[in-house]
Amino acid sequence: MSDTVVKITNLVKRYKELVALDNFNLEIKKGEVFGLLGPNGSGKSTTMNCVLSLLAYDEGEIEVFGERMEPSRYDLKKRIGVVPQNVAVFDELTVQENIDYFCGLYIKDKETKSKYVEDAIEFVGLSDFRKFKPRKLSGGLLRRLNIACGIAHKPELIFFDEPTVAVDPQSRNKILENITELNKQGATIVYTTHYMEEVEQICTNILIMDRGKSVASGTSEELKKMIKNTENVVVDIKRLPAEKIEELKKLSHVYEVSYVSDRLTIKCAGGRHNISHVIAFFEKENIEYDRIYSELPTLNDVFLEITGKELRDKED
Amino acid sequence: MQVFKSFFKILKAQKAGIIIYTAIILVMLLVMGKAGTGNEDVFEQTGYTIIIDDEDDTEVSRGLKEYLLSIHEEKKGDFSEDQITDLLYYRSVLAHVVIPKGFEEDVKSGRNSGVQLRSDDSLPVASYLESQINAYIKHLYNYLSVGETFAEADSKAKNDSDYSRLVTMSQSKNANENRLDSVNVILFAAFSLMGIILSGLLPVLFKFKNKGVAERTAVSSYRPEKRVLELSLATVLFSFVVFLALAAMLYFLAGKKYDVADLGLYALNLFTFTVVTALIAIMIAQLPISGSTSQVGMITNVVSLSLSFLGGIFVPLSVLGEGVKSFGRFLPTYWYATAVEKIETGAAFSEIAVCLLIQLLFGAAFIVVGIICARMSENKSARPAKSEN
Amino acid sequence: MAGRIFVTHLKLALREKHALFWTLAFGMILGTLFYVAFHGIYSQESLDSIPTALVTGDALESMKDGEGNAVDIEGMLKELTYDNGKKMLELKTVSESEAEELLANGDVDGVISVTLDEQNAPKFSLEIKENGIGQSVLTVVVGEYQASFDYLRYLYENHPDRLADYFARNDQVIDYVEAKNIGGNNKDPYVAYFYNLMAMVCLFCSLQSLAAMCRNQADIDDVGKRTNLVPVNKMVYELSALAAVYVIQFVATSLVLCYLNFVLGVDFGGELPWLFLMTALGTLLGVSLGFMVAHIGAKSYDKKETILTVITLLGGFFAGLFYHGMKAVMEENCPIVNRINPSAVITDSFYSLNMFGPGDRVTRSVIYMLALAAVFIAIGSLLGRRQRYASL
Repeated sequence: MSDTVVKITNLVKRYKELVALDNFNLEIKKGEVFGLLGPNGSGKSTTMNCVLSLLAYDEGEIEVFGERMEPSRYDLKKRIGVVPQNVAVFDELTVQENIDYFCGLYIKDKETKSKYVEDAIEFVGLSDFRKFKPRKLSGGLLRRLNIACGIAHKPELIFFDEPTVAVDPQSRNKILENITELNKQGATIVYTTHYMEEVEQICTNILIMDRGKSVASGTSEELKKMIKNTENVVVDIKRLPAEKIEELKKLSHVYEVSYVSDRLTIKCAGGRHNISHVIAFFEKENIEYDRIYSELPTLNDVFLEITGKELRDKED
Repeated sequence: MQVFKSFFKILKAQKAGIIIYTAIILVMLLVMGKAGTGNEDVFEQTGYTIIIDDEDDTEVSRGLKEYLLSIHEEKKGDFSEDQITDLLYYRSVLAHVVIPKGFEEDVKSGRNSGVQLRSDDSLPVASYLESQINAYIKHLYNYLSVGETFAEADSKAKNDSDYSRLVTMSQSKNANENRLDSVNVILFAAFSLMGIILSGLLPVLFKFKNKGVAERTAVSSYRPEKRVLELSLATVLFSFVVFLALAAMLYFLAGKKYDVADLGLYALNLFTFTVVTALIAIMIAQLPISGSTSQVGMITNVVSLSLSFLGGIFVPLSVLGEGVKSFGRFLPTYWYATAVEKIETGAAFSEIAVCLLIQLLFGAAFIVVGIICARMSENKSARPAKSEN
Repeated sequence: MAGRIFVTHLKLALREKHALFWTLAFGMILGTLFYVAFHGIYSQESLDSIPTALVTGDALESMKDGEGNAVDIEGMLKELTYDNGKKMLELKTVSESEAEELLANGDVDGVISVTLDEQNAPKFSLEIKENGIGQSVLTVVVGEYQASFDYLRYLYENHPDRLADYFARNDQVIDYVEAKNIGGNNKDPYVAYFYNLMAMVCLFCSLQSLAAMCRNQADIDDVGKRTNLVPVNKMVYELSALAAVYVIQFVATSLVLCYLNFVLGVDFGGELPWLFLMTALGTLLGVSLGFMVAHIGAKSYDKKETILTVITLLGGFFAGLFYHGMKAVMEENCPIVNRINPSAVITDSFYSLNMFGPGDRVTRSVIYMLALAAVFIAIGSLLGRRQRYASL
């Protein structure tokens, strides 16, 4: 039996003149935590909604669990769970009632359903809030409720659509822990986001998309190896003359230097001890600096190098 | 003029609702606005719309029919029994007369001819028509029985039944033509005004009252007085545009038969009511409700229908009982309808002005209520909120 | 599964207190206002004695009939009655100046004056201030008396041999008219406003079914994104939810009916079980209308609510909510409107029950309501068959 859980072939989706998905291809294997990474408007949610048969698409094929996915394929839907981007619960029902209702739409047997509902409440840490109505919950707790409603029936394939938007760091960590735990329990996860740190933290496989197209895919390490950049040396420095920046560019393995808002970023391709070379340069030139450190390239660097754009808007 | 401009941007988003409401009301006005004439200066026997079925179709039966139709109006058509019941119930016709077969024979023999008269027997119309039919047949027989020809007997019977020669009018009513249907349209305008203004203004005012928006505005450097002034200005402008549009519609539908002075008075009355309606909207917006679309719809319907029914807009003041009128005096629509009545009957300007002033007093009262509600909700929100978690 | 969906939506509908409140409040507030406005109008219109002044002066004493007996005009007028036995005239015999004052003040509808002409025959005349039914009845009375005396003179002058026949005939009262009532349990036409009110209350239930259905639409509500992905047939889901809305709304409309019938004492003209049946069917029509409109293309919830407002308001207008004769006007000029206008169909069901009792016409009304509801649900189902969205 194939271990491909989701397969998208040449998917095209148009909104009048705008091509939201442009011959998009994707394959997700069983047991993966698959990250779909891309800036706002890249087509992540559109992809997800097409896979779930919520959105009509113009061309292409979508298979889930090896079968063609259609709105009336209830046998496939039974095995899928969804955590939508916006909190999708009934305001008039309590936490317990919401989870019970949505789980009950998948699980017929009452006893099994009750057990699953309890498991879900425990899992997301809402035991103390089971009688609360959604409007009494904070943003983070609401998100947890949102998750519980989507996973209570213990699906094999779970879609998370930007689940940590506008969530406090503590709740965000909890959510990421939950997702990892679900994966450990055997679920295949599809995770869409524009936060690269989350993807790097939990995803086993990543696809970066932009303007409806796949830009790059692989593990985090594989993606980083695709680009020239192997190391970034970052220096906090006031008043660096322009001619010194030019001289820095001449250092070995340095291919790009930028100096913005008193922060100098030196991108290096290959080489070892790059930071030592930079320190030596400053000492030789008698240039004072506040702080210097080295960091590995991020997925944002991957995206930037491939597309020329940032993954996130400056405001993010 | 940030608030002023935003008002109209938000209003623009509501334009679909406003246009649709206006269209509905225009349809209603068009359906209602048909001309009607009558002359109150001379005696006219009360005529009703009746259905006459002449099953005999002889010169005698045609004589009776002709006589009845000299007073009443015939509704022609091929109606089933059920349809006639409907027409009688809803008073599209007030009576159904059936002249049976053999009528001529019976009349000439002096027998009871059995003309059927179907109507609501608790109303005077039944007795009235019965008297007329009996009178004509009796007179006709009287002349036939002494050997007159039918033509002669019919002529004399009709002459005997022509009562206008016996009646004098002691004083004439206002020289204006009876413009019943135009008056209905002008009255209905009050309901139209409320519908359009409430459905247009309320959603916008509630949006400004929205907690998040109100809090943002409160912490800004925009002075509250300036905000209130601009909101009021925008409300006034919107209401004035609605007034102009409605006044134009009314002139087109019903205004041509009025002279300039009357038109001016009707316009003034309508304008006064426009101001009052806008103030009602402002008052409602201060109430502690969320102002969702369905709530706005319900409020618009309840307020406009209630004020209209009790204020003599749909059902004439003269028909409403004294108890209703006593209650209605506490409604601005009552004074609008009273002003319309006074303009129609040519009352002195001072009497009309009183009606307008009372409407404005209502408006002032609504403002006061609105301010009180606003203050109460401000005090409530100033108290510290309970912790949510 | 359908049961779970039904029960949960029952809970949701019960907890949306404002929705229930508005259905009830609208019906009860307007019902009370209608009651205040229309109660008693019909009885005021009913047969009443017409206030009349009589001026005879000295002429009265010298009036004689054909057999030489004194003619008691005042007595004759006072004895006049309607068919139901009620006195026709509230008569006062006064002087000319008093009569003028009474007429000017509106205390009498007319002044009957009886004088003698050149031939010493009675001459009747009537003075009125305005036209009206009271005045018209008075003219018939006055006219008939005058006509009797004129005919007598005619016989004297032209056919004196027929006088005896005439007097003999005059003693018999021949009524040439067979009066028939219009029928119905309650003839008061103003009750039709309450029929219209019930129709409006039933149709306002459409707002609740609209809300429930739109919540299941992924392009309108986030919850819809979830419910569209569950392994439950879309129609089963929606119709189960609709059933729950119907139950709650029927309770609300029944409460309104009970308030109007028992608290206000409005006589709908039919027996209670039938009234509840009409209310049940009217509510079904209302929720099915909301179901249909929910599936009409527009993505915006507000636009769909506006469509319902249009249908309810305009439908109410054409069914006679504002002018109670409008339904009859439509029946005459464009009867198809009364068959497809939900307000008119519901109003007609109450009206038929009153005027015709349980029978063919009522059965027809019931069939119309069921058929219209079925059509709405069918259209909604067809439009809602769309399984994917063009955009979200």
